[in-house]
Amino acid sequence: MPNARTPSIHINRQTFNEMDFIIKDTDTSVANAIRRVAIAEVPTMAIDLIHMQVNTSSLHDEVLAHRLGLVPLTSHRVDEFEYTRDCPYCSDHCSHCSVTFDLDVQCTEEALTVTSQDLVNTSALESQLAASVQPVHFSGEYNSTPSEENGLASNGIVLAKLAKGQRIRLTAIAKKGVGKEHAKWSPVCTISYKTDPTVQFDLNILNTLLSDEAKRALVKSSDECLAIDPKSNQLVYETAFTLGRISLPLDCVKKMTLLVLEGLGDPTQVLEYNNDPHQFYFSLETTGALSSEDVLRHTFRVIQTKLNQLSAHLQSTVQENLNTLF
Amino acid sequence: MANAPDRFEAVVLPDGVAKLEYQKDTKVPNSAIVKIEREDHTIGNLLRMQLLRDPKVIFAAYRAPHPLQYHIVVRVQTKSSDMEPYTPVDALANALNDLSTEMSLLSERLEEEIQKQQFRMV
Repeated sequence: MPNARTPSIHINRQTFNEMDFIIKDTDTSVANAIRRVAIAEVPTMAIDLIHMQVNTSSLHDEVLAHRLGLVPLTSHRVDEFEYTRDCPYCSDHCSHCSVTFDLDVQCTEEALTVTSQDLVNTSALESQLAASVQPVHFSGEYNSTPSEENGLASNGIVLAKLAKGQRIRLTAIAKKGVGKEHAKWSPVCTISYKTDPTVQFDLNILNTLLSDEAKRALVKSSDECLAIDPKSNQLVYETAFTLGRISLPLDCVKKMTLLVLEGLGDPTQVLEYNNDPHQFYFSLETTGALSSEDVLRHTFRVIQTKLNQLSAHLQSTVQENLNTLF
Repeated sequence: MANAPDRFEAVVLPDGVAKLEYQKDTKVPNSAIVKIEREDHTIGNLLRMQLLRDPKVIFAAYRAPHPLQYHIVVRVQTKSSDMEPYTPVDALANALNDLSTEMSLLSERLEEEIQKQQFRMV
């Protein structure tokens, strides 16, 4: 391992479908690979094929089909499913590569809302594996568990609204897939990362060097990145700056240079520029198909599998063409 | 959109297509062009940055030629001498290996961190 890095990971906050974490001592390319793979290459289950038997609702078949596709399905056992296209057990689809849902609703009253609660998993009796795939009716706020009281449990995801006499009857087949093929298979709502602010001042030097008047002038030009602590009369960073939400404007850097030169200091000592970030603040939110920690587990594994496969392919390609290549 | 390619084409390697094609560059010494099928910027940039960390690599770059051609092309040139032969294959193998260990390390540390989190909650 000649040039390997030793990154570390720290979880700041974790719930079932959200996680804030930091990855340290690595490169932007790794952070970005993690982000891209979590979005597009972590497999989940989603409804992919629909046999529409009756649809007298006001929604077109394809609109309804699209809405059904976007319903997240619990996929914690997705690894045990085969991709339908390379399923060894069947030529079309079977319980090893798909899960079937039925939806049959008729409106006999004034109006009726069809939700994900009306989807019935008809493969559930065939195997435990198929039974593990259920629609995610609710994906919630921090720490609030869905219950009858707060009305979250009974709601489900709205699929359509029916008027009196209208009916929807269909069979939906859920398959395994990745977000690269269609966004409905993506396990994450958001995953993003940010780095430390790139331009910073060494406040210790500034505090010793500058007069109170100069400090005030600097704060004025800093777009509220800097402030003066009323107790100690020292320059401090505003919270928004330390959190990386705002950055120091160019005018402030120029002002600092002038002021430091006036005080006979060296501006290059004060200015800290960071163009090689090695700390990445991630925030991740899932659709509810997978738990936040499972998304990360799968992400790392998917990248690793890709790399190992490439290694193997490289070896075999080189072995085959040993004579012609060198 | 009648002539749009199927979405799965970005993911599935067609029959008879090699995942990796290695070609020696005849114009530059110790240089190779590698075509990797069904991969994108995720692997391309990862590989490039890791190759550039290698002091024996003179040049490393990748490109994704077209959004509808699902492959990337990586170009590597290494420092090699008779005393210390170091081919682009060695550089690529090392880079892939290093990244793979980095990922397994991350996996391990994630499990540790999750354990700690559960401990904190109790």
